[in-house]
Amino acid sequence: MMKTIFTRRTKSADSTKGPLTRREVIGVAPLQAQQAANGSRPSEVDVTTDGAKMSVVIVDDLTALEKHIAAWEELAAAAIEPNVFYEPWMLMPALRAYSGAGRLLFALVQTPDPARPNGPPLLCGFFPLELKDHYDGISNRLPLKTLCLWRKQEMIYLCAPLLRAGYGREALAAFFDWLGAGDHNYSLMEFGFVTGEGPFHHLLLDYLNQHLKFTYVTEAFTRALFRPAADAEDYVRSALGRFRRKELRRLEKRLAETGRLEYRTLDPCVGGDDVDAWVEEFLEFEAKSWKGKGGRALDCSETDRKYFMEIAREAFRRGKLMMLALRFNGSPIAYKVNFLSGDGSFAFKIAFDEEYARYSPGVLLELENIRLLHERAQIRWMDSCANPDRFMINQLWTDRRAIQTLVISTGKRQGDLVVAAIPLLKWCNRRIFRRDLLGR
Amino acid sequence: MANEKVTGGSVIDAPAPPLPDASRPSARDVTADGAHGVRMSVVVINDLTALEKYVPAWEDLAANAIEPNAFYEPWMMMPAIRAFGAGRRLQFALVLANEPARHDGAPLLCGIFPLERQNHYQGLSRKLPFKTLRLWKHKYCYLCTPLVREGYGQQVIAAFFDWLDAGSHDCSLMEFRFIAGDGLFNGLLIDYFERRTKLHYISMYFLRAMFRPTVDADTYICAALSAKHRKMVRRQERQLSEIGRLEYDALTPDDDVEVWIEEFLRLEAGGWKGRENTAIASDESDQSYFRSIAEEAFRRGRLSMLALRLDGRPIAYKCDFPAGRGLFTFRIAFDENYARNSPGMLLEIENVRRLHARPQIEWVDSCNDSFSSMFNRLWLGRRTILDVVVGAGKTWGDWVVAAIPLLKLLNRKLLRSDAFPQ
Repeated sequence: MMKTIFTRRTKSADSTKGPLTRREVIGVAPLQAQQAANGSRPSEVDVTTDGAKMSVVIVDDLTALEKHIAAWEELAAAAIEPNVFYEPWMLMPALRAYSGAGRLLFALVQTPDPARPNGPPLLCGFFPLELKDHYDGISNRLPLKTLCLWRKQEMIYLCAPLLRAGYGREALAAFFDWLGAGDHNYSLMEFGFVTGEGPFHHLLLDYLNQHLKFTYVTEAFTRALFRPAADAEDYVRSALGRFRRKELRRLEKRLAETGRLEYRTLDPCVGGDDVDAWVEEFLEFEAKSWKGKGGRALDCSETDRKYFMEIAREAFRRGKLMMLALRFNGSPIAYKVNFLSGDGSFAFKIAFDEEYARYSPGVLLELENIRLLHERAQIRWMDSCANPDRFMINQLWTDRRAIQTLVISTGKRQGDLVVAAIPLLKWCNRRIFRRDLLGR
Repeated sequence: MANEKVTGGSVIDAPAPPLPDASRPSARDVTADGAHGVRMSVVVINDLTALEKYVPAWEDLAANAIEPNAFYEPWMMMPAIRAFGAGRRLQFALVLANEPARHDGAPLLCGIFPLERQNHYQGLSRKLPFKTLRLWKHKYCYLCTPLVREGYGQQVIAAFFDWLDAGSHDCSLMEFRFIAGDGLFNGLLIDYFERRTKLHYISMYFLRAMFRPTVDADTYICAALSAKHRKMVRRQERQLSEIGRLEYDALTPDDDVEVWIEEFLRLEAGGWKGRENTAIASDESDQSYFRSIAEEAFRRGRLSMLALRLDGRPIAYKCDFPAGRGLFTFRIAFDENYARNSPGMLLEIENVRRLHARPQIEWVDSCNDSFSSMFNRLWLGRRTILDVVVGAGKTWGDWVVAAIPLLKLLNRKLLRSDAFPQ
């Protein structure tokens, strides 16, 4: 286990609020960062006591990370913006299942707890990172060492790091100071799949703006987001036209006439339900659908299956699992799995039976989901986690959330140059070599 | 609203679609087939009389826009063109949908882009010799998000870019200035760029204070101000009320708006803004612009003014314009003689209380860009404001957009010069 400690001191700015606003002021080089880069590793403890003194602890294996789980849990509950995928109960199983040969590094930003100065430090920021020898944000790999937020496709849909409310700005600054101090030799830091709006994004923008970091947004898209309206009926009325609503009512009625149609919910608030039976049924159902045929169902891989069972059980135990099923004569024809976190929630997987496709069972279940979400006042939003081109959810959910990938130079010369040159490289490749460079 | 890919080849020059009682000598047009067989066309207008014919349609568009922007509504924009448009090469790109079945043959106005042509690109500290179209921002315009009709978002963006790509405007770059980064319009841009793999560059961004109500006013104020600060504010208020009769006063529909406008202008001109000649009353055309929009807003029930009075005399004033479920803060002013009692802050705290009693208002944009403003302290939310630059059809444009970050780097590292305008 390697443990690096890096300390930074900040002024006692009123960090309870969002970032200060400031126009981009350019031309002054980020001096502190440069000085830090020249010196050796900074001293371990700084003696000044004013304000939040942040230190960055680096952990590079999972057993060492386990010691921090309690603090991490507590951070997740106090985060500026919830990200269920980076909570320990979901991320630890994911790392065990999928991190494989990848080299991992966890940056933990801590500060002494003002309430208990002699107690354990307060965890204020958590950044799970993967080390790569190449930057592959554009199709030709560039031989530049890159740090990326860790992500597993189809499982981790959001990579916004956890930052503690009230300490976000200082924690982010400490992370960047560690990046700039450069006792690692990585030139680029890629924030992949982070939110393109909201508190984390604002803190990030504010930091980049004030420190004149070279940054480039390599990918951005929007995906459907649900925010409750006055009531469910209101919501559906504003999302769907009169004809579509009528048609859906007709489909529902038709189904109910030919058999027993029921909406069922596995509700964490009610409890008592047999979560294993639900999970098994969902896995089996998903495997039969088009996802299964394409080999994309969770049941197609033993690792995926075990991972899903584990996180679903744990989420249920914590009251963070929400499963919905539409059953026709007892057997499911549509399924939906959501995870809840703080005042937000994330739609994880959906599946429906194609034999009933003409009755739009998936849409009927989404309408039920909208009704249920309107009954829970504590949920302010649900992220669809869907691809941007999903027509059904884009039509039904009227709000959008921007998701983006930005690459930032850690402050080294080659990093700055590459970040500044990315768009030109893309342009040259496309115009001159007639290659499409967006890596797709 | 499925988006149909419109290829460059399908962009053709076609005669302008018929418009009720309109004759547009200077209108140019590009047509493309949109989704559901909706034909979108772009009409470019560069004279005021031609634009006036579209005002009713424009009003309707503003009422049904995906994202409200009071500054781009006709009643605010038309007086602005008269007051500040002289000598500027303005042109308005109107995106129309031709749906004969739905709208009695008359094309439906679905998007409006107020544009200014410039011979240089000014996003960097040095002017670059590339002709640029940019969203028009006059001195009293604090947000430039274009109005786009709900349900037509993707088609409008696609049609606008098709028009840009057709190149009849003869410019290399298009600059979306001062758009809201958190709104649906920016979402549409992001999606368009992603689908078309179009190069773009965010040349400027900053955060500005935004108000969104919480459970109640007291919770909000406790979250925003420390106990010490709250105590100080209470003391300042008490001290003022010991001097004389202190009252918070909001403009009501029965008030004489002229008196309020007059009072506000005088208060603003009496302070540092007056001394620096940046008060509205310092300039004749500014003053007449403000009077005309304030009167019109009042007539529409869309002017909200709040004053703090001491013995009937105003010592702090604010003026806001509601739009949809939001509100734009236009101007604030206070009497410097009472500066140590922070009358401006007292008024804003009162405003926070009043906003919590107006559930139809979901957000307030401070429209205030300064680093150390009172709004940053008192308001908890933030909104990003962006300048996004894209190539406008010509090969040169894309090349410049691609090279901007490198130019910035060279400027900063080699020439040690400031790569941004201040």
